[in-house]
Amino acid sequence: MPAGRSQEVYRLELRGLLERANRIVMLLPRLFPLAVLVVAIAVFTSEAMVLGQVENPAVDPSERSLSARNANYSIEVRLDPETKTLTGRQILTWRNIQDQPTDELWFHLYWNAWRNNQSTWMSEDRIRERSDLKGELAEGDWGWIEIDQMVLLASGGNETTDLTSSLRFAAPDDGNSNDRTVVVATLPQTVNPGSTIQVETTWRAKIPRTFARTGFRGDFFFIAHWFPKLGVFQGTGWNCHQYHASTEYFSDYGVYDVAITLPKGFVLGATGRLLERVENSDGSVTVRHVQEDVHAFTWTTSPNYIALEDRFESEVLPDVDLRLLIQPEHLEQADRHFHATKVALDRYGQWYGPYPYGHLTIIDPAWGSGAGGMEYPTLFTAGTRLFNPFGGGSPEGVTIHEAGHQFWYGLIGNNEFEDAWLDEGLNTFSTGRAMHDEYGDSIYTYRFFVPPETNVRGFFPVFLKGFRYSRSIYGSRLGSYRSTATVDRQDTPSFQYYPSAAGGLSYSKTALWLGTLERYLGWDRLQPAMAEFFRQQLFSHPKPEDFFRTINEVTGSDLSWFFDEVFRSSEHFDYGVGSAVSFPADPEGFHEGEDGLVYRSPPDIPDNKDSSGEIGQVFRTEVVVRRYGSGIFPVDVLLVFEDGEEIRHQWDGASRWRLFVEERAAKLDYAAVDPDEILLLDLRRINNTWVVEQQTKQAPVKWASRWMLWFEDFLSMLAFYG
Amino acid sequence: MARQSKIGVVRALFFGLMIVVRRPSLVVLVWLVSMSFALVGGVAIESELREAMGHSRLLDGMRGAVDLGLMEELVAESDGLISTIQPVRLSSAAVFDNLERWISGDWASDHRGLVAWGILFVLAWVFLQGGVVEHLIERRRQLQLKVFFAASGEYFGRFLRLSILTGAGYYCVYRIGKRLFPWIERMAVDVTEERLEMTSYLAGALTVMVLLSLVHLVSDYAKIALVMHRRRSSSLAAVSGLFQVLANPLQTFGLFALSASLLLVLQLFYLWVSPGPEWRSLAVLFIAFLIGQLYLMGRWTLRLARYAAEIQLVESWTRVAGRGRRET
Repeated sequence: MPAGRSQEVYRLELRGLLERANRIVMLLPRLFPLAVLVVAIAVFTSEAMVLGQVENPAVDPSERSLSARNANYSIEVRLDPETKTLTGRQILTWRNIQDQPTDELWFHLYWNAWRNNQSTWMSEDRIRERSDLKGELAEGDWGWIEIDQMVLLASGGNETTDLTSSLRFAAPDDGNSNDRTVVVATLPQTVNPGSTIQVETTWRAKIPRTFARTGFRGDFFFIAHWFPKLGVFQGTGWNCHQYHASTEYFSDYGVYDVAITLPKGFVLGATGRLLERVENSDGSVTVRHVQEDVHAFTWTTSPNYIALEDRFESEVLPDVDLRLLIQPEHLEQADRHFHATKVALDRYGQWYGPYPYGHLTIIDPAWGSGAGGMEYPTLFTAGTRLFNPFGGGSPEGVTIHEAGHQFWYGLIGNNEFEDAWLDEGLNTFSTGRAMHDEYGDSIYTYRFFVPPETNVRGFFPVFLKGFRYSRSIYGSRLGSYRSTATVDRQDTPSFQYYPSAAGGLSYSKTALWLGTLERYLGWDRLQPAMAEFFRQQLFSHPKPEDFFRTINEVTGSDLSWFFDEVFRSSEHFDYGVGSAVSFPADPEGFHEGEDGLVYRSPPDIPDNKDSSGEIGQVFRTEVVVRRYGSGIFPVDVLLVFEDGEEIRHQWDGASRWRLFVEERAAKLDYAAVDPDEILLLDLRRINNTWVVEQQTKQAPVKWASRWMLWFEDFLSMLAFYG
Repeated sequence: MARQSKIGVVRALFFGLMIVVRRPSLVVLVWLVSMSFALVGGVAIESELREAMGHSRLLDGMRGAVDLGLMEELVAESDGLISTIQPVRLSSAAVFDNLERWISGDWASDHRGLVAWGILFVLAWVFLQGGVVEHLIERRRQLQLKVFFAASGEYFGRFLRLSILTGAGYYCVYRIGKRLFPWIERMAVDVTEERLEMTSYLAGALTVMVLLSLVHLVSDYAKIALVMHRRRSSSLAAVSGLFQVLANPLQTFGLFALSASLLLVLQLFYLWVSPGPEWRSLAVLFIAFLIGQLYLMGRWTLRLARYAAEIQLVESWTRVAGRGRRET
């Protein structure tokens, strides 16, 4: 926030700015250039040419298309909760929107990552030592998906062609011949630019015990990335990565029309809006959901969910119907889920742009399901605990984060395999901001009673007051970045990050350098730039350079040097004060006099009095600041003297060290490099200040005395064994 | 005819508390030993902290609320005692950290220096217990350090051998615990309610606590037997202790549960009254330390009171057994 302005004035100015931005976003479809209209006409024309196309009454043809809608799915799926299986039939309608033809279709078969222990996902999961399931897996714990038949439907005078025999598995990332997460279908003829084809696929899938937030626990099911899903054709080829343990997904936008058949009594939550619900003669029900302009479809079901509804209303943003499926034991936390979701819709909506879908489903997954904390279009999972007093930041933090992904992931569809930081990092930064804005600092909460040798976290919470749990800690996760700072360059494709470093690099590092930019430029400059990037990239697949270019253009600052440091390198930052001394400025040693060299002895003056006892002694202060890290960032150097005078120097931070000399009537009290804590990426804050004469040892005594009480109690506990 | 009966656990603990409260020097002695051991650690970590902080201005900043970011940085850079600092251990809830580690047995994997120092303390406590038990049995005598330490020396070897035996017992219990909790996790693999799974783990924890208490009680009654009956064999004393516990399960476990409940109440009271680390004045820092020491003295008082109560129980059983023999 700019110094000297009141918060209210700033809010009003920001609101005005955002209202203008919002109006632009709302008018965006009407302002699309002629080229977009031409493309739209071509789309309708080409789709009309497709033979055997499935009628889709759910989609209002008069409705304006927000996205390219080039990968559309019509799916019928049946859940068998006893055998934990899905049986599906889908028709994919795909339009080639690139300027190159293709004679292949590449599909993700994500669930085959858990088919056996030889998949790339499993290998990477072992490296990062974060297995979702501990110990040996039983037969029913694994998951897989099998295509029974794939048929290219007749179109444009061509016959229906069975593609099943042409299917082959591919491992474009690591050549792992045992990986079955990508399958390629060879087409009998090329699909030219602008042309549309339809492919019908029947498949079966075994639902795993939860991996990567997907699977079952008891009668709870969370079904994500569950059907043969087309990769993204990018002209130069198909972008269809194998499934990796530490990265997520990438797909084109389209319309999803999904009919899910479940046993009666199961409550369903799914992407999109409910279109119809039919009770079948066999005791099952079929529930149909439809959603336009999304890049995935996810659903969950359980007989235990309690469904609640609320509505987000705002003067400047579109209303959103909220539906919460919550576990019975968390019912008293329902309002907290709704409130945090509204906070996200409000803040993200005002900062970046409005949420356009009109409905959003919040899922509180079953205990132990491992499905919490994940984003899907128009649906996300939060996750809370029994005994969860307000103030500790949960479930508010995870709710805001996952609701925030509706913007950074849902509406901005970056490639999460390659540039995971674009959604995770921007969203982590925004989450910290929204959390702090609404709730202030959280109270550090510790949960006691962790069952040993299990994956279970503690049960009984205790608020530990007296610990600062601030935005820079919660929101930016400096601790997680510290351990991964130099492991990889951030511009390494995310799926190639060292698996255990991916989180630190994608989430934490980005949040830290965005936080640094916020402090360096000011939020009033960074926010419009991020909003412009959001506006430009709605329903598209931006690359990192798009982000950097927009930030540079809108802020009017060429920050390429900064992005080189933080993105295109693995440089780490550590500025510190190397030494700071003050001493009488009287000349010592040999000096030139009238009779040649004259020796002057050192004065014995303890304070600012001269040799005659008069005040007026001048002290020379020498402060050495050092760049211990490899990264370069301009920093201020603050010198504070005992008489209260402050002198601030600006240092470009490029050289390895620099000496600052001052001669003043007072000794130096302390020196500080980066005194305003602009550079959040600084790995060591301890050395950022140097007090010439420590006034107190109280702080170490305080920590030590409190630790000693714990240790003494520890010894008393050990006496039990004696 | 006056009836000679077994003493109840409430009465025994009450008498035990009275006995110990009337002998504050015994509590002070034990507390001083434990505090001396802890003080060494406290001085060491204070020195480490000063060294780690160097000339940083954050040294003054630490006078207020604890900066978690700074704590993370300090811990990340240290493999010394600083690495053992955790927020919960600087808070008043630190006592529950130790309670949890007692149930899990995880303390053995803590910082090696701390564990080694802790084992030295356990040896010191084993040494002291000879004097403690002997003094509580011969409770009409005034506490004389010379006599106390002579008894400590006399029984140290036997108590040490007994500790090795019971140590094996504790190890077995923790091995059971390490299998029990993952087993519960596997059994609860389809449980979708936290409340239900938590109850299962609580039942598991209760099982471990009962088994730990069993070993501990056998050890306690064996020590009493070693001193009271001048036994030479620690193994036979352990067998005797086991028989006594099994023969009087309600009284032995009841007494243990009662004193453990009082300790829990004491810990909750400490959590309630002790100032947290957010306080910045030297006076509050001193008060917090003082309250901590009072709590620890209370803890030792309870421990010694339980010893005294257990001796009361054994004496009552002996009286009953003696009367029974006379009657036959």
